[in-house]
Amino acid sequence: MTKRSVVALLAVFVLLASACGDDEAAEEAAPEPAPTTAAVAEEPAAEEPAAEEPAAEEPAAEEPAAEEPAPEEPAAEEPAAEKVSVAILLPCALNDLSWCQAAYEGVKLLESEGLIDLQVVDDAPFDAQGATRVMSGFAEEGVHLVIGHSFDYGAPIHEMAPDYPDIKFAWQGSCGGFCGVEGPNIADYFMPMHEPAYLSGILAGGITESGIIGANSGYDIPVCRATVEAFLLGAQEVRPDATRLDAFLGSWIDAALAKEATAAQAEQGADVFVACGNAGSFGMIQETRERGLSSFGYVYDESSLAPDNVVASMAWQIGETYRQMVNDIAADNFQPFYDVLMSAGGFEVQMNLDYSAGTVSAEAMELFETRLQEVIDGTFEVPFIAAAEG
Amino acid sequence: MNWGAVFGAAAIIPLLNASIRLAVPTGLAAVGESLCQRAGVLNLSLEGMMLSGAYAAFLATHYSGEPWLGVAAGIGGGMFIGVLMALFSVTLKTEQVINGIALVLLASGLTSFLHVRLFGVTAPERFDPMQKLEIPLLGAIPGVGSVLFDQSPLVYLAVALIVVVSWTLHRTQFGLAVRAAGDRPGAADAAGISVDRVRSAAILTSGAMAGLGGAVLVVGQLGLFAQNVTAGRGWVAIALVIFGRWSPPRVAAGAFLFGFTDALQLRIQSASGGIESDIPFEFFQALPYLVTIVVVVVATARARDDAQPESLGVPYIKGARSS
Repeated sequence: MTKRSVVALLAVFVLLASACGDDEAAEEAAPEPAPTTAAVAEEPAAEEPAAEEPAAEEPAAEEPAAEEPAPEEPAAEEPAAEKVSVAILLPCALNDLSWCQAAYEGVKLLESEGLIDLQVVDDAPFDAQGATRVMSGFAEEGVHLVIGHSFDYGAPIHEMAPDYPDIKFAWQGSCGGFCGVEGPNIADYFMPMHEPAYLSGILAGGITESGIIGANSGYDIPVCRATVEAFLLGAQEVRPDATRLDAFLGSWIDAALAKEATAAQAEQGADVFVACGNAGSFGMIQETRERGLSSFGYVYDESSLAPDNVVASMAWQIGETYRQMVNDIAADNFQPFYDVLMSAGGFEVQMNLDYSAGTVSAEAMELFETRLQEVIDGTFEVPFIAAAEG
Repeated sequence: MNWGAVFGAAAIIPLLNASIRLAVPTGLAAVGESLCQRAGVLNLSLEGMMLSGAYAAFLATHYSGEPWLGVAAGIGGGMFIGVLMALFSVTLKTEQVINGIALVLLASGLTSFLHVRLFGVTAPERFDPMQKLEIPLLGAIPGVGSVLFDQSPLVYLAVALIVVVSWTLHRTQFGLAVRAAGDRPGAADAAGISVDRVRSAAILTSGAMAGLGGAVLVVGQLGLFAQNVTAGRGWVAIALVIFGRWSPPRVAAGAFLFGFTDALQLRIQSASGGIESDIPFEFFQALPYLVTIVVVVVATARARDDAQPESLGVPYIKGARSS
């Protein structure tokens, strides 16, 4: 009998301990969970006054490109009660040097500017049921905006959003409405990686000797297709004969499999590589490091993983996307789709000055500079090819 | 598509090398698990053992700069989960399935939590993976030499361990005790074998091998830790034990076949046009599973014996009637 109770206690302990892995990290990430909760609890009554603010907020919403903090400062000086409360689910570690770190630093930027009250769950459940549990907790709590930073959070958000009409939900779908996840309180935000991918492809075209690009993607989703397609198009501007080898991994976390995909493509002649997926980029970069080949960083500056081999990183400035959302919520003007492109500071191509595994031809470098300026000016539109042609 | 890029003379050796790299981590875990299940313990914590080993290996290599210390720590990390599994499943006789799943969750949460706690948002450190070790003379044999004798030292260690476990299970007193504990724990007990001790030892061995499997990923291949880096290999390993009908050599062969098909599908995907291809990529992902299942079914269709240990998953309580 006593043994039984010991067992029960231990079982409870194990389950709690494993659950704490998430929760304590989340608490650390959101330094003041208690005050946030308190603020939110008082909020419902104060929600209306927010609508009085549109005039003050609009200028900021119209100038997403403006990066100088000056326009934001007046907003930061507003009373704290007007802050938009945001909860974000990150499906990976916030120090992953990629997908989750970019988003984490994006929301942290807004928090440091005093725009939002922030709660972060890193290592968030990836399955629909687990994600729903976490998100509905925030929705019940009454946060203004719940962000699910993954394509996979679309389905659970689609299911639960109608139950919480006063809460805004955002997910990284990059669908622009054709994924079936929609509703008056749902926003899809776009990952315009095709733009930096096109520009990176130009560099790749100037590096490759074989004319063969290697690419691995986690899953067959629109963003990944658009990324690898744009990358090849960019390369073909310099090397019209360039071709691409690609593979899907069926995983966002299997770095070792990605490493093998890169090895397979290198054996088939590829010498410059791009990845769509955080673990995919880790494995790819390690393999190019061992083989002395070239690769590009995914979503965040990954040059530290292979200083000689990473040509440049496509760094997502997600804070600019979240900034627009938050401003729109404050102005009661929430949009169904947010596409903050490079012209609005949404993405950067961060060159790695230590890169030495290959040489970008002068012609490619010049074209890169030209196209970069054109993309930023909005005069050159990179095609978003999300579906197979024909 | 260009089949020569996949099966050409120049492509076969790299294909076999990649198969070995993909097979070793899963194979180690699977062979350890087969020993554990032969002792009667359905150890579902395998993925947690691998992950815990992977992270321990990362930390030890990171802080000491010595990859072999990382390997040792990886073994220890797997055994850490093994100790908990043995405590719950053997000492306390609780439901093995639930213990296993809880320990996978524990390992996943704990490694992620520690990784953020220890490194914050600064870039996680990386290190150079262990170099290959070419065995003199043998490694220079054209073709076969590089596959068999020019691998990471961890590959040789893995093969040696797999041989030792197979031999132990079938040719030693301890192996007999393991099989007895899994089939007829009551009879084993009557014969003076401590079922609890045998089962605990089997779980710890399983933990050591799975932990080593995790260490191979981190120290032998990637040189970094990423969250849930084992990516489900522990679950695949459990399936391989069933496919291999609880026989370590067959389980190891299954792991190689799985790794081979995985290496093959990556090459076919790449050579066949990838996203331009009409074949959905999910087919390629499923290929290792399909091939393994088909081979197992064909290979064992004639075997009518029931290979599953009779008391698998049943806690042994001294004096209680077993069903």
